[in-house]
Amino acid sequence: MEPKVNWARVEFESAAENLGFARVAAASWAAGLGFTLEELDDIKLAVSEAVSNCIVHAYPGRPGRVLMQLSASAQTLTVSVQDEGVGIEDVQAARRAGVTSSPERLGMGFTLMEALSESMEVTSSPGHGTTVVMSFAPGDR
Amino acid sequence: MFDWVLRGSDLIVDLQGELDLSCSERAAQALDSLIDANRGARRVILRMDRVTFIDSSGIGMVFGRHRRLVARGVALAIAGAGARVSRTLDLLGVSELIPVYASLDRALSAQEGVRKWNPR
Repeated sequence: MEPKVNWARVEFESAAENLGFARVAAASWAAGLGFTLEELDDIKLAVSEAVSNCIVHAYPGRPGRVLMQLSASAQTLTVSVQDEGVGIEDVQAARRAGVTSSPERLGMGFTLMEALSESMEVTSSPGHGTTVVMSFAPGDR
Repeated sequence: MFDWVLRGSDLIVDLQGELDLSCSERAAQALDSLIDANRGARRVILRMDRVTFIDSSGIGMVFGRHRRLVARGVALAIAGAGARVSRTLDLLGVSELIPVYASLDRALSAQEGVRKWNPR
């Protein structure tokens, strides 16, 4: 028998004001899956990085949409953060630590997301937005 | 924006709340103004006792301040970060660049130790 799948979709404006909400939404949804408080904090940090990337990069000069999708199956949490923005020309290059568009930024978002999650995939192409998918399982650390 | 105190040559700034993209620009400007208004300080200590969350945007803001201070020969230190914030600082290797102390007392006594060793 297939494990039961639960899911949620959260859509919001690509505004920094929504970061706290996105973090708490993901953590509170995941709370029933057996994660420790520290693991939930890791999920919040990973979500913060993914959503911050959308806010900084996806929609230059105009606001846009961010879609966060959460799904859980057999205690594995999958978080996807997606935008319909400008997209990344070279995903591999962008994922390298320290690659950034500004001196006030670290360019460590992808590196952090990779460290915090069990797996992370980035799909993007110029003009077609970016999707980051991360998975988390309790007892992963 | 922040509580702060000048104690001898240490400018101690009390950071609070969530340091993420939503406040990093304002925090950077507020810190820069504070630092400019206290040019006698030889070291800026960022207290993180009441910081509840930090991500790479918040740490980027701290590193940006560090760059400006280094250019003026002023030191920067972080003190009092809780378990969660400390873990994030560790993940990003912050202590390789900026001294991170468990508490303000430790930060203050570390500096005294340096002065005793180099009485000049």
